[in-house]
Amino acid sequence: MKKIERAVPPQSPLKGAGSRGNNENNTLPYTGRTPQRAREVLQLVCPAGNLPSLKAAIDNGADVVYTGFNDATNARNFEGLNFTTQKLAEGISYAHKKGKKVYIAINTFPQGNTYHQWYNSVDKAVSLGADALIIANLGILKYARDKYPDVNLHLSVQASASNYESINFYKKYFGIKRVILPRVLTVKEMKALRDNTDVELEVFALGGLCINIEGRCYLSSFVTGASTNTEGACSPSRFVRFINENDHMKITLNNVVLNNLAPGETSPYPTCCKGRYITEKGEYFYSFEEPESLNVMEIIPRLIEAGIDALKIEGRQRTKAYVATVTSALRKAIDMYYKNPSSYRIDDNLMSLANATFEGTKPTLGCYLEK
Amino acid sequence: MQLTLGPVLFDWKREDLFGFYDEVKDMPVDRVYLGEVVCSKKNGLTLKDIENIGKKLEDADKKVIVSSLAVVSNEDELNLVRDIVQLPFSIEANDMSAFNIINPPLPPFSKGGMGGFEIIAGPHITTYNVPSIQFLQGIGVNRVVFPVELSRDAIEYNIQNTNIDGEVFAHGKVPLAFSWRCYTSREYGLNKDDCKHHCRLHPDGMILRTIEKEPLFTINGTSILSGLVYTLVEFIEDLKEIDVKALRISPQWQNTKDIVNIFRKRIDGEISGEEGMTMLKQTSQTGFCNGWYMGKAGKEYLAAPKKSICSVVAAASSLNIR
Repeated sequence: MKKIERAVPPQSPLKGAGSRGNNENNTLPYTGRTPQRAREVLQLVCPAGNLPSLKAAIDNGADVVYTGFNDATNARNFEGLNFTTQKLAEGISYAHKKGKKVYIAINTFPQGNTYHQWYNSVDKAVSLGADALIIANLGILKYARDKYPDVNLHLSVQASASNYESINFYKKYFGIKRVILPRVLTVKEMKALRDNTDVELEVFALGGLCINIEGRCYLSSFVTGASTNTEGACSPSRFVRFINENDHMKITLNNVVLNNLAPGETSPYPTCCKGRYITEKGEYFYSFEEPESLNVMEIIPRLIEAGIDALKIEGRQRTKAYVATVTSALRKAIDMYYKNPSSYRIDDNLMSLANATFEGTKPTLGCYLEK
Repeated sequence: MQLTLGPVLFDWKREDLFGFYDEVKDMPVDRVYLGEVVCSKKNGLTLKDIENIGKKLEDADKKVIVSSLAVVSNEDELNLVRDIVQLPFSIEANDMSAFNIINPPLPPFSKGGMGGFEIIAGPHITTYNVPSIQFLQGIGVNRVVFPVELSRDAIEYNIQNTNIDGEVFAHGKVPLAFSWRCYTSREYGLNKDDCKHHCRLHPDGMILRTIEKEPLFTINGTSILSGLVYTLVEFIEDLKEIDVKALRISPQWQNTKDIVNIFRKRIDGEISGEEGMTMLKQTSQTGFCNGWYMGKAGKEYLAAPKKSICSVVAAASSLNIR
């Protein structure tokens, strides 16, 4: 029988500490069902921006597909992408019939009086039977937890919880079941987290890479005025222009030149962090990162042995073909590990199959081994 | 309306920091935020130094708050947060870890110094909206430094509906992003793990320009700031109108004292927004921006609407009459 763990009894946090503590309105810790970490096999979590991609992910070996509604309440709010309520119902039904799960991301930060739209997404996701809600914002977490004491809540990467004190804070107040780790940790640091929290840990395994910490990056907002954190889109396409000039291709974002490509040079989708700038030394340099994509296939055993519970593939904005290819590649790699951990070796074919989806950017291990 | 001095975001030498805070004692600011926000590898001040500087500032009638690291990813960094929580000052949390560490154990009774212990949600906590602020109020937070990209309308709505003490980033290169990667080290061909403290050579960070020579960003270790200086000097009347409690000046390598004096005069109604702006132009060579405040791109500069300028003139002339 599953053991039910109880959080600490309600108490007034910080009692006596504040000079202006709002005593009658103290926030109490969550005392409902605290989910148990019980995972034994690494879970593969795959992206889908539409129904065909969702089906492709399930058919190619995903354990879970993560999705979002077609509005600003999710952090991949691109034109023509994501699910209506009805399509998501179809997707969830398809996944559940095959014994797989669907998570719904409601992971942006509402401003002003618009948060009722986010509450509405929470209500819709619960009524659709989502297996978990992925949330970033404190206010939205609070709403979801108060109204649905038993629903599975995952802390989005956008909340940038990169240490166990933060993770345990979210567990204490919202009973989060899982955290998606920001891409700022080495495997060694992940292992240290594992020893200090029983919240499930999910990490990014493959796909586009934010070099800056998500949920705290204002570069695109600074240049365009459209908040990535609120609108759910970094470097929205309505601000992007490609201008041919003397054999070169200038790429601009809201009239700011992010890159100037010589003939033969290529660029992934233009964002501020993937731009090239003139440094104080006078060089024209990719000051933040070379165009790179994450691929952790080589180090899957280390991640499993560090106690990671789930691997996530980035790319809800990518095609069905991408989803099928990378899902199947990671499925093979994970199965290979469990068949015989000691002989785990990624062959070149599997590696290049995954790397071929990276639109010309180089594969990298990010900061997983060193910073 | 209070004037506050934010934490020093750059890597300044110990003796320079001591010299700087010696000057701060005489600056017309109400609150001073000490401590390290950007990088745990900086070694300018020890914990004891922070305590000593803080006590001297309290003697000069300043409220002292220690700011916590914005990015905490290992035990050493958690220990830095635990250390500053033990100091006898109020705390500005810039990562959720600080909230968990503050409670429990409860701080000693004597903690907090002048005006009692306060817990402040810093600019790197995502206090975008009313329910988030209400949640934080429930765990004892009494002041919020709003995320830098919030417009005046969003700020006004949040203050009206929560009654929180709102502080706004009002002047300085504005923090835009954090990374695991050290961009300054990268500029010198190194990784963060091989840090040789090159940030020391760049006390206002390193500017990045577009190919059209426009100063766009500033790199400062693991952080990115704006290339231009963000300033709300022309919007003081409007900030008062929406009930903002305090304006934050972010320290820069030179002229911080002049900037503070200009803002003090603006708050006291002694000079107009235009006059303030003219004076500020002596304090920076890279130019200014402020677009976010009016809901535009942060990089843009917008003059305050006419109405505010009129009220400035009215306030200034009424002062003259008195």
